[in-house]
Amino acid sequence: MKGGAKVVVEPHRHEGVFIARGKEDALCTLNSSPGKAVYGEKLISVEAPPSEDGTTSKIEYRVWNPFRSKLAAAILGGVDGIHIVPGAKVLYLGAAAGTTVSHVADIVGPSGCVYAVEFAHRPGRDLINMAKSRTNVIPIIEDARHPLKYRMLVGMVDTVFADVAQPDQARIVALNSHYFLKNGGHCVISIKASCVDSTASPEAVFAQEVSKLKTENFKPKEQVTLEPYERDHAVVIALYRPPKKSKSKD
Amino acid sequence: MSSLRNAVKRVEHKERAQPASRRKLGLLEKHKDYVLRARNYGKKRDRMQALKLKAAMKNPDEFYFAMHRKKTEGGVHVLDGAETLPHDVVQLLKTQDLGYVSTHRSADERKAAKLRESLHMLEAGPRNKHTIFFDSEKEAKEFDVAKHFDTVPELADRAFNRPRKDTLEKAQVTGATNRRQLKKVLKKRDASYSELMQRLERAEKMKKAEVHLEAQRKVMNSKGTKRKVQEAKDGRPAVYRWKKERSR
Ligand SMILES: C[S@@+](CC[C@H](N)C(=O)[O-])C[C@H]1O[C@@H](n2cnc3c(N)ncnc32)[C@H](O)[C@@H]1O
Repeated sequence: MKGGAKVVVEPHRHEGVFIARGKEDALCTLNSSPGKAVYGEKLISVEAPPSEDGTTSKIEYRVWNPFRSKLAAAILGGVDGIHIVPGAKVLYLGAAAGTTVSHVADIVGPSGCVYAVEFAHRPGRDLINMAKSRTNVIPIIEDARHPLKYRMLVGMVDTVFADVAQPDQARIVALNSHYFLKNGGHCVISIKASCVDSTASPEAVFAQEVSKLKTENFKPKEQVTLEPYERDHAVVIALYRPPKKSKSKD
Repeated sequence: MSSLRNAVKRVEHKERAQPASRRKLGLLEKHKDYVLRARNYGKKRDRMQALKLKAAMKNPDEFYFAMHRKKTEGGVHVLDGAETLPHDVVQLLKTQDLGYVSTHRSADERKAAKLRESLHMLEAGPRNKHTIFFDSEKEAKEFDVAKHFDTVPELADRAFNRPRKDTLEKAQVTGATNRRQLKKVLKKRDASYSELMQRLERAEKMKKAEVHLEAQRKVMNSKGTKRKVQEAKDGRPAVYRWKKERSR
């Protein structure tokens, strides 16, 4: 290897996510369509450790900017579980142009699947374009308030991720979970305090959203705020219809 | 005798390179280089000496024609050609200054934004709040970070990445792995951060300068009577108020 490697890539707590250091100091995911960037993000390629027969190959990562993605900010904020793992099926509400969705697709890999719902047509076009190079993304241009309209497209999912930035987000999540989320699955929702109630303090808004989730049969697990990447934002992770306490052993 | 010695071919002593142990001092100076340096030094020394001599030998009463044109005002020597530029020229120059500063500020901001895309301030330490919900008081009391996150105690505080114990066992770090390479890589990363900081700082300074220039330009271009209502302070320009006037 001439000149030595220029980056170090360490695996992250969450499978499929990595931390790269070099000229950059960045969160990244494995690029599932090597050589191509989705939205102009930086690509980092690293020589893979040689396999048994001595051949070397390159691994390519895509930088995942926490200043643009709430999920990335939550990961760097230290969440315990994002419940988006290789092989998982994820319903993503509020996909916009698919920047975050593309990273989620990288994580779940070819055996997983991302159903990306977005109702605005303009970002929807970019989303559909992105899905062309990532076959595990199923773009759905519909209003997330009417899950019946896309029930034929979506199967049962392990996780619902929501970033719709609407005041009735909790209701939207509950509605979708009712149709698509398996019992014992998780929801990961990003809350922008000013979108829900711009007069109340952010903490109060987060608490209010958590209690709304509770009434909808969710059991909150954790909540992280997104400083320094976003102000007055939080990501809440909750368990859906927790299985009844059967394991009385522990 | 000496001529005889010259007839025999002598060993040619080649000049050595810098010894490896002194490599950090840079290239070793050769005779060739010394000659150049010494000539340069000698030339400058001689010139200085000549000038000093000339100054010392100067006749203070010597006449120069330039003396006819020079004058003093209240005992102070005034330079000619220092008259002020016309108002509209100054106005034009000020807009040009403003344009220059704002172009460079936006270039710095753009480059900083580009750098920030892949500089995520991982090591800066968490500045957010992480809440974990428990079923009972007891669970909350027994909370242990390393245990909860299933990681080793050394990594428990590293919010941006607390690898699970089995990740630590299975997965491996790729890319630069030996200590020397690692050091090099981290040096590059630190250089990127310092570039980011410098660009942000400079953009900030230029933003300030821009505000001042803009204020100056507005004051210069304005018509009507104005009054200063606040002095310049905290890096902000002075505030003026104009008398209200009917426009027609
Ligand atoms: C904050 S952006 C999401 C950004 C995206 N998650 C990312 O990180 O790249 C919110 C998006 O949700 C969409 N949205 C809002 N209400 C919606 C609804 N009821 N159904 C579907 N999408 C919705 C908006 O059009 C907008 O693009």
